[in-house]
Amino acid sequence: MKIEVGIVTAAGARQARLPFQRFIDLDGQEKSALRILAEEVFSAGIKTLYAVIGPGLTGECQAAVGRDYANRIVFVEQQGSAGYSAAVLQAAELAGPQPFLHLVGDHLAISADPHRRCAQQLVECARIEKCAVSAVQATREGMLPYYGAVGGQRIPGTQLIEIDCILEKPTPTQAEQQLQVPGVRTGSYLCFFGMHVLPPSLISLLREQIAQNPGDVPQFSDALQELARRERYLAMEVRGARHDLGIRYGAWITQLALGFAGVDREVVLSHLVEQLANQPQPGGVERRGGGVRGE
Amino acid sequence: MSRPPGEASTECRSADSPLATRWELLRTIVASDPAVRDRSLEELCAGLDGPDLLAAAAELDLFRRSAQNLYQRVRALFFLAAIHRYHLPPRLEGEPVGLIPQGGFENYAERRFEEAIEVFLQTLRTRGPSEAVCSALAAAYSELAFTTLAGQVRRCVRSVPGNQWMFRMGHFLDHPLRFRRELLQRSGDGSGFPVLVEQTPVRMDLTHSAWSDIFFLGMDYPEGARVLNVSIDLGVFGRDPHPRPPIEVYLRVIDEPVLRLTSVDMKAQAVVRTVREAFDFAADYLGLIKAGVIASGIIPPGLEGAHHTLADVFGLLLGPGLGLEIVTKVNDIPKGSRLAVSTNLLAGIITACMRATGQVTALTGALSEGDRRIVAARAVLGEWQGGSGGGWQDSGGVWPGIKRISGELAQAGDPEFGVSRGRLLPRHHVFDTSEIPERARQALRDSLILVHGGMAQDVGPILRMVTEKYLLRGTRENAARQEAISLLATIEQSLAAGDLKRLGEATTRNFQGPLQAIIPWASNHYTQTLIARCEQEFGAQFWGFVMLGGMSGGGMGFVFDPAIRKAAQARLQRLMTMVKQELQDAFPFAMSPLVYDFEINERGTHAELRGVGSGCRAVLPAEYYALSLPDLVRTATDQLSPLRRAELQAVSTEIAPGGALVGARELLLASLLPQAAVTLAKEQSLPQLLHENGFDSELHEQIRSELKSGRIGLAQNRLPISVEIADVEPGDVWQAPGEITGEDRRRGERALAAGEVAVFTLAAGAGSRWTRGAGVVKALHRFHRFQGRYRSFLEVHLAKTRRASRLADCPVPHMIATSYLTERPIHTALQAADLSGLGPVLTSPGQSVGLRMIPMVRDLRFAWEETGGPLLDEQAEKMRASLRGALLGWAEAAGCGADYTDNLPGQCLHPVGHWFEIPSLLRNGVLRRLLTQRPRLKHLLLHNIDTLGADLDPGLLGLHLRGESCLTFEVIPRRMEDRGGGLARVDDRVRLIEGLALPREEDEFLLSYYNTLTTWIDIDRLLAVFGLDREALANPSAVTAAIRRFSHHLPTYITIKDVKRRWGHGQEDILPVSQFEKLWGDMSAVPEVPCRFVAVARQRGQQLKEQAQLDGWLRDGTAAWIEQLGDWT
Repeated sequence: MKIEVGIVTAAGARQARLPFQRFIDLDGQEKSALRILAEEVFSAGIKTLYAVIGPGLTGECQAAVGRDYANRIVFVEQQGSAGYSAAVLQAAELAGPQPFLHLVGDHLAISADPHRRCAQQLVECARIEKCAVSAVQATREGMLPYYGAVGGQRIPGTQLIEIDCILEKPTPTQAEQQLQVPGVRTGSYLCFFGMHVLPPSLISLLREQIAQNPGDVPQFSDALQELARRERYLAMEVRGARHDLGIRYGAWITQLALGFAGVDREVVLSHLVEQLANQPQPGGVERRGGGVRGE
Repeated sequence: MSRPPGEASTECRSADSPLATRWELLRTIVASDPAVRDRSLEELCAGLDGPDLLAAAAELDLFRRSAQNLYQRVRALFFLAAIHRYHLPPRLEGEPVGLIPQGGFENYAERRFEEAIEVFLQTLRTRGPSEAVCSALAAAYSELAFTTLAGQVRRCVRSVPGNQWMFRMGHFLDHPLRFRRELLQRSGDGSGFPVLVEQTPVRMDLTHSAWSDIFFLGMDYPEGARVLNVSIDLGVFGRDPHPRPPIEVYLRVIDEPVLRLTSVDMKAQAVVRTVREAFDFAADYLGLIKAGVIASGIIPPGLEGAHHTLADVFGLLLGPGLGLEIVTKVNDIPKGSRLAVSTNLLAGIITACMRATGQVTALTGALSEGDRRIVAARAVLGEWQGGSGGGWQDSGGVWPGIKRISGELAQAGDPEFGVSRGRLLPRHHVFDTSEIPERARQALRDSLILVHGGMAQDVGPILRMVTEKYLLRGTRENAARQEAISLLATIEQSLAAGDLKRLGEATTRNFQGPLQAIIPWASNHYTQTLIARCEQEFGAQFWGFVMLGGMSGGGMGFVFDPAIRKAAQARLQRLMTMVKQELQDAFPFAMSPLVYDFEINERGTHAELRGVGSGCRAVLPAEYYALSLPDLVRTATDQLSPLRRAELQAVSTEIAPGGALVGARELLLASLLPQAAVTLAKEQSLPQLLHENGFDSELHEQIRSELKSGRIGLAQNRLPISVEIADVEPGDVWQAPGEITGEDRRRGERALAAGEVAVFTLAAGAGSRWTRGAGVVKALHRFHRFQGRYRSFLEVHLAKTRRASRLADCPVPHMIATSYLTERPIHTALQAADLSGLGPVLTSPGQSVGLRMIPMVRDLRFAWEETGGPLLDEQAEKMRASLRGALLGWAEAAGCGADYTDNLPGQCLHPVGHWFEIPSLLRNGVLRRLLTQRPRLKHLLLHNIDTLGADLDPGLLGLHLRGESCLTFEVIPRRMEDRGGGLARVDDRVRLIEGLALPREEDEFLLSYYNTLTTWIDIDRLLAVFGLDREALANPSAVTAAIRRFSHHLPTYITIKDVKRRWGHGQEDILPVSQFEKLWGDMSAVPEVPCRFVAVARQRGQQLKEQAQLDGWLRDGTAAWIEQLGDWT
């Protein structure tokens, strides 16, 4: 299974500016989110990245990603509010009928594997298993309103799960009934990581889905659910963590996570400790250096 | 126990040796072969004597401690309870009278049943068996069994997939639910949020499942748990134009961060602002809606105890500044309909909330099967949260049409597997039209008439009785259960064939046969009268009777030939009203009977979204606006939220001609104006009633003043702590029959034959515990069949007097003490009664009455905290605490010590204690007249109306004569349930002492004997004690002065009693009120009154205070014993 194409979607109205959000990356360099995503994709051996972006943003995106990747990235401007499925379909049709690595533009992944980034882990798995694979992460049920989640049977002794159910933003009631997976702690579910390796057959599924619901904004997870019904489809608990830039404090938490995991770890930690130490106590009593002033 | 019971070998023993039989008890419990497992305890205990039974009980106790299987453990517990309650006591003759160990009772009261059992068993081992300790063990084993079962159901409810997350969530920030976008979309700034309207039918059980739908039973014996359950729409015959789903739930988002709840039928509204308030179920009438919101997961049970506000929770679920409003309406379907209105209302609320939060797939329309199942599971959870009960078929209204609901065997992977045989939730099979064709459904509509008979009874005790009987596999009950199960097939086939005549025969057979064989109390005199009159009036065109729910008298079904159904509907309405009028003095009717129209609901619970994109419109029911308007118009406009303002404006638009609320103008206007007429009428009659019944306003004001100043009260009822309380000593009490000699008996017979004795039955009281304060005449309640006919307490007593008259060949006079409450009905009943074979039967109207008062907060606290009785289970205890909080608030708001007048006049009065019955007998001239007619009359047998075994036993009379005392009191050996004082040595004087007068609560455990109140009275000695004689009775002022003088010798007690206040459609509040009493037993404390005491058998002395006692009373043989004491006409 050759996987040489990547697709990043960042055209949603809510996430149109997220690609330009700047972070200090693991290597201590300041980069845009789009640049970090591109590095993630290319680390997995992808040759061409199709980035679906909002209308009129190509120039800005090119600047955000940097000149060195300019000739490996194709920017695809999505017109109107056709939705997520249409964005993937638009890019996939341009790329042609081949498997592709897909990342959502509002998530950044930080690998816990010192040698392989998350996308790399996923693509290697897909190459070995020769089927669609989605990265997942055990997520507390309180976060279910933000993610798609999978249920299925674990392949013994692996991080892989044979998917038999996918629900978009399930309620915990549905999750308990349909998404229990052996080995996952009670109250946690395997939610999407925002990273998938998908087969060309998904393109026809997306076309069918859009054709069947003209005027509607179809759910991408419905197409994935149909894919699971038709062919082998795995979920992989990658070694790493995804961070959602789009939620409240998402960018800040992501920056903290990058700081802790990167070369500036000590600097970040010392700043944080200082901040904590200087926090005024409720009621006006201030704590410093272990002593209490104002008693 | 030397080997596991399953391996018990009987090879070396003869099969019927006692040892073998003991092992058979254990084998019965563990057997998988139904022929062995279903053997009854009676059968197994038949050949065992006392020591054998004790040994068998010890083995069972060892077994139940190690049994892994829950149902084996519970069955062993029920075996133990029954052995100690029914089988051991008759084998204890000659054993010494025992005491209940105080430590054991305290553990029992705190629901530490295992520890209580340990203490009781220790007493059994050290002091030997006694009636006292056996009764204590029976109670503790029984409660432990029910607690174990309830705990298991709760664990299962929590572990149903889809419910578990709600118990994990402890902080609102972890809340995983969000409201659906459709409910948050407004079409413009001035417009409201859309309203989700859920319409849910109720369910009727055509087969009556012989109560097999109780969760415990379905889980124990799923094969036997099957019902035919029909979802129906209802309308009240003559009131509603056509049937419709009776339950409506309206849910919408509001622009205030609160939970606003309204029950249109209860006329109650509340604004809930904190999580804590949401869990306060009994604070108002909206507990069921709160339970629904909690069970739906919007405020999950895991949040209970959290300090958060609902603004916090809703901020996350809905958005900042937003809240939720839920309005419910049950179309005025009254309580006690036996159509599971409450459970289906709960299910309707849960469904709407789960739709709103995306937990079930469809926002509108019907539900999928998977969604129905999770709603049903949540309804069970909601019932548990709200402290109510229910069977697994009760949420049947969620499903469409006609369905068979069956218990299911637990499978590997189920939370129940390995614990119980059956699953918590049953399977629903909805019949399609190929199975039950439209023609058959039409036949059902054309023949069945549903009614509400007007009675609203507590079925809780019946459900406990059934559970115990089924797990014991009583011979009679088990056979009846199998017969009921076999009838299901006949009923199902008859329905499928549209043969309603055959269906009616089968349901009638079920009701008259197996159901009453299992629980005789399922029927009553009212129901049987209705059936008999239908048979009489409609002959062959009356096809049968269907019992709905736990017991009859409320919701019921009558099957008629379709040709006369229409006429029968109207006739049945009149018939029920007529019979109710005949019986309403004696039966606790909560409302006027009514007849329903019904329609099969073929879609189950169903929702629609109203008010989408329509601007702000008044889309809630008119009654909602009638409730809300008074507050809204009182509030300054600038303090109303924008939506409230817009809604108020919408209401004013809609009441204009052509508007949606034009028909509700009167209702809305009435809601804004006070209604004085009803209050005025009531106020006029209460003073009149007080005046007519000898109300002493001076004494009343004195009592009120003392009550308010704290000089009298519950705490002041107690004797000083320095008073020494001890048990009686040998010689203080005669033992009957042991100490009754032949001469005593002959002396008694001679006195009876000479006409020296009369009976005096106390029937003035309200029988508060019998109907929980319903204010009906207990004496006239026909509660049980004697000689094939329902008889009242009074009839039983007259039957005994008739027999005594026959045996003595001298008609014995019988006097009945009555009061403002009971005089007229008893007098009327006596006029209609056959009094042949009796001497004169006279009523002795009471000459004193009190006016109830709002209790003092300190007395309520004392009653609940110091003498509050046993703890309830965890959830019920929470409910009780919440209710008590509300009652304290009520007492404070109504004014502690103020007159209680907010009820029917009769319910505001109270009898002033049984001591006054004798003074009344002297003052009203009844005794004087009788003594004039029968100058040889010398003695009275005084007894309470509920002491059914008290009769003119010549031996006891002879003993009384031998003693030559003024009063001879009958006492019985104490049992666990006998609370409220007893016979004691008080500072070395032998006397009766009331429980409320004991210096310390625990002193009661020192006393071996309990007071029955039954007293043999020497008339002349009693008159002398009062300072009177026979001649002086002709002088009323002398009598009154003598009584007033003597009454100062006796303490006045303040008591708290429950009184029922009825309102709405069958709704009832039970409120605590203060009243004062002087009690007859205190006569024994007066030094001038010579008294003796005699211990009699329990059957003779037992009082029937609560209907829940009836089953034990029947099962232990007391009922049969009483039957042979009477001559029944």
